[in-house]
Amino acid sequence: MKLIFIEYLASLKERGELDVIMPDLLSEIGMNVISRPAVGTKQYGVDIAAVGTGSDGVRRLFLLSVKPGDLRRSGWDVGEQSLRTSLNQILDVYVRNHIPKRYAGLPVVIVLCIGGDLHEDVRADVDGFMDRHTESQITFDLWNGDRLAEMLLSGILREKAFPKTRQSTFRKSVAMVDEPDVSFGHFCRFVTMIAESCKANRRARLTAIRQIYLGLWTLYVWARVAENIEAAYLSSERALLVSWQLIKNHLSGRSREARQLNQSMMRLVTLHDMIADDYLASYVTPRANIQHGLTSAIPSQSSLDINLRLFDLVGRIGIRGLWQMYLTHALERESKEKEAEAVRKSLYATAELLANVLQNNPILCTPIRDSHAIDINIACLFLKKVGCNQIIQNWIHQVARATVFAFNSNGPYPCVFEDYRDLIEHPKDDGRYRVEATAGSLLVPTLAVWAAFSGDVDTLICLGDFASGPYAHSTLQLWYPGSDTEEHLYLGSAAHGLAATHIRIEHCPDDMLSQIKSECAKSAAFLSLSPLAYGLWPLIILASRHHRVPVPPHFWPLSHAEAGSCSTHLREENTPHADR
Amino acid sequence: MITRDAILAAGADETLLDAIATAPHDQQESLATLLSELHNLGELDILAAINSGQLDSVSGRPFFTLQRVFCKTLPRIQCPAAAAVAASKRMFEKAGTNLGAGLVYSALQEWFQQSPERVEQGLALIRSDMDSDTGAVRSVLLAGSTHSPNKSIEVALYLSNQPQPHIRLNALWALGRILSEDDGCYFPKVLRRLEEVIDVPLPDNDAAVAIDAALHLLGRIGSGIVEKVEPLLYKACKFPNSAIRHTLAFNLQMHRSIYTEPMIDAVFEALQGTDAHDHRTLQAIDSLLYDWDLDKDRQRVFRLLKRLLCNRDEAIELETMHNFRHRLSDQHGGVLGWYVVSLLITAEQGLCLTADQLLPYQKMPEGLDIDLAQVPLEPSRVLFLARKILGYCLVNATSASALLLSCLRAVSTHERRELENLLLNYFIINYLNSIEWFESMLYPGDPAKDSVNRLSIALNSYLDGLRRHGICAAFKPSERERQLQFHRQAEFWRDVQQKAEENSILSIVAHKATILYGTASIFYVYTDESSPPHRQEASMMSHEHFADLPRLEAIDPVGLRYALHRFRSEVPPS
Repeated sequence: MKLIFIEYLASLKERGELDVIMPDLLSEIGMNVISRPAVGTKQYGVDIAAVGTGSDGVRRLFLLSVKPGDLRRSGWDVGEQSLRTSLNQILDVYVRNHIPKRYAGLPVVIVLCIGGDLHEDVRADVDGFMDRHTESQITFDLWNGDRLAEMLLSGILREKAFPKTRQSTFRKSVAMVDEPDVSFGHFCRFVTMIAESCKANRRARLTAIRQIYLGLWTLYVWARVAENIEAAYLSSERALLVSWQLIKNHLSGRSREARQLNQSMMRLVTLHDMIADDYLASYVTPRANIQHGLTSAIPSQSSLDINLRLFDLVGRIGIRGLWQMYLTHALERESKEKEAEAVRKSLYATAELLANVLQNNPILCTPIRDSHAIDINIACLFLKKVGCNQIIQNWIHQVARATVFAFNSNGPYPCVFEDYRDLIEHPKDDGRYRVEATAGSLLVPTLAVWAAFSGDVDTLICLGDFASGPYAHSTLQLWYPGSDTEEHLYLGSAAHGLAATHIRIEHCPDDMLSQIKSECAKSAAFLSLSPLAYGLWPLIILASRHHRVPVPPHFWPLSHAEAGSCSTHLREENTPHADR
Repeated sequence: MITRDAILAAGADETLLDAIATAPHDQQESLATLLSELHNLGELDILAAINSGQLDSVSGRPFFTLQRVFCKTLPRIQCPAAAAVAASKRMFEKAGTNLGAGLVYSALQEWFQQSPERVEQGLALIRSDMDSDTGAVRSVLLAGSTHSPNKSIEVALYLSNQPQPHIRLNALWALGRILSEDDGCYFPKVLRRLEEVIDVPLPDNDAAVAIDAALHLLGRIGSGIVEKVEPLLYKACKFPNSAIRHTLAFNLQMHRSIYTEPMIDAVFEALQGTDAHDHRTLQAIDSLLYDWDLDKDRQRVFRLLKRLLCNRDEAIELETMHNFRHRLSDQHGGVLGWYVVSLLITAEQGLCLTADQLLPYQKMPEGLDIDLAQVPLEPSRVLFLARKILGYCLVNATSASALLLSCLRAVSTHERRELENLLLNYFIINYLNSIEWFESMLYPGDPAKDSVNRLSIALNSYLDGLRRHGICAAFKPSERERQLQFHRQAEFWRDVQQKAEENSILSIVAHKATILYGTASIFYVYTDESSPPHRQEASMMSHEHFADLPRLEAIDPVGLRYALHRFRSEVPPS
């Protein structure tokens, strides 16, 4: 176990990685973190400051200067970012002028915190520096990867909170990152064990979410080294959802622990963002501009595998864009215009990425699972929110036509089957099978709704004729959250919600949308979903994607003005429709 | 060796037919002589044996031995006509549909030819009870013609007017086979009678038999009577039924050299109405086309083919024309290419599907060197043709590449880019090595060369993009999915192998043995019973078959289907 963490720690980068996990690590070993890493503020060499009592009973002020990986000559004293420069700044500025008054009398320990190891070629220099500057009130300590791993195991992952069975599951998850589904399976068991054994108090929940966070981080780092972060991506979604289920009832109030829970959740969101960005940047973006680029990157000759993977990717890009939108609005609310602008740029880049993916991979016009409506919906929600209405209109038009054609020609038309074993045999040349395979449909109404938003009457007529003709046997439906949704949405623990089966595919866009609007107005359970109370609306869509539950129609921009809009400009909307 | 005593003993034991049926081949002649001698001496009665229940127990190969010996014996024996006719009929009926059954009546004809008296006996037998089908009409009339042809013709003319179909039809048939001593007198009579029959068709295929007789006469007498037979042929071709079509096809194949061009046209036109259920006529057409000059007579054959394949409710399947297909695939590439292109530009679905069925051309990579100048195709329709080639022949990749290259050669300058894009998006992307096929078929100064170069550059650019980033391990399907896919593939290929084995000629001619270990097998060859078998070793050979599948089938299956559907359903530009 320790080796896993040593490797993990050695692979962390400083900014946003090693320095981010350190505060949690210090908190869990009983220290009080008084200063966290921050971007844009002058730190005078101190990345983290904490107060703690050692085994000798003496209270000390720990000033950590964090450097990633192994410490070599270049990291020690070459350039402004070198450790030696930071230590000099701590001695010259921080210790003299910036220690908070209440800690001014405490002995100071300056910690050289490195993720990896101290190289032999600089050991003498480092030792010499520490000897030279050690005084009665100022001492030095070196925390290398090995020491940090020890601290992890005695802190966050201490034996009592992290029993052998859980360690074993976690180890398997890390070891199997090359087989993402296996790794993800173990990680799911790992987080489920944490959740199930967690006591219902804030302290326990805080430890649990930190364990999940650390576990996810470790998995991500290992996956990154293995150049396959699929397992980390899936695990990050699961980690978010399980964590939310764990803490959602403990976030209210102004207590320190409630605040810490909030911070931990946000750190988890940030980590998920980081993994998702890494995923898209490493695997999707380089191939998105190339005709059949993503299609050809899938190591399979089966059109089924290609179809499933690409629709999955579309959902991932869509949800990433929605998270970016959430972040933009959050930053705007905090008046962090500069940061908001940076995220907004990423948001547009994600929209462009999605448009390119749709453009260059034509299989995305032919969903094979009816449940691909979820991915289509998420992608369209995102595109709609950034004003890419023409892209939506073209795509939905093509998906609708291809669906009708595939069904009529007994090609690989969308079916209700979810299991791969069923999909691999699909379609069969048998009338009864066709009826079974299309017994219900979320896809057709979803396409119709998006066609209505685009004002695409042709597509509505096409779908309407299809639904009343060869598809008349299929139960068209939309899903609405129910009173049981809050209980099951995040863990996917059981079926929940309500199916509306009285959907008519109207030829007039307004008529089409009015029936949805009317039902949304009557379906109040949506408003009681917990993420909405904290403004964390993308979590609901994430849960829909992750557990393959339809996205609540409440997210659709159902007002007439929005539905009729054909603007191709990127538009800003402060919050999604549901928030308003 | 079958002895006289053995035969007599078998006759006494009522096992005579069994004894004859087991006679070795080299003794059949002497046995026939012995049987006829014994029969003529009255020591046994072979005809009575044939008419007895003994014949019921003889079947299969022994029956045909018996039939051969009977045919050799019958002409030599002395007996009443009725007995010879009855025995022949019994043997004929026992032989059923076997083609050798007719030999019996040849033997009977030979029996009648022995003397004019026998012919008279035969005629008397026929006349005595016309309602009874003795099966002897043809034999008697043809035998009679060897003694007195004119009389035979007179009798045949008389019999051809009888109401009983078995008498009438056989007499009509015989009219085409008897050559009179005085053509000037009898030939017009015969033709008049045949014309009467053709003019007033009766339900019993009289017209077919009549035109067959007329054409047979033409075949026997030669071109001197063409102008007399020609009008009959035209009449028969006017309202042909199945039997007439079969007769026309059969006779054209047999006597083609005597036919005038208008006669051939008339026959081909009459054959165009053949429907899918008329297997006999289709077989005759298939044989006819096998012997036809498919290159020089393209237009005529194509018109026939087109109509046969397009008959509204009864369109034939190309499968039924396997001789024609074989002959066509044997021609040089330009001929097959011409047929394929001609079928495709009709835009008729049935014909276009046939075009695909005519492929692949086995003589690739020499190519289907189609010269589109020979096809009635305006330059503006080259794009249309290219889409049809893609729509129907995409799976036959190498053949399709040759056809498409011919389009690149013929396309007009202002449509060249559009054609190149079409080829790039729907052919070259499907078959990444197709550029090599194109390049291998270019000749010096080829008008398609620049296009092929541009396509090559475009393909390289497409591939560079894909290769730059390659496969992504994170996108691989799960282990379970990979396992399921593997099992499904294995199952699919097992089925393919099984079907290939079922359809292989080896499954009929060879014994199958499954070798689990080793790279060679031991077997023993038995040359004769006296010497020991020779031990031989046979090394194993591997047999592989490669087929390119369109890439879009995996990366955009519905899109590919939709494109092909559009190409297929496109109507010819007006």
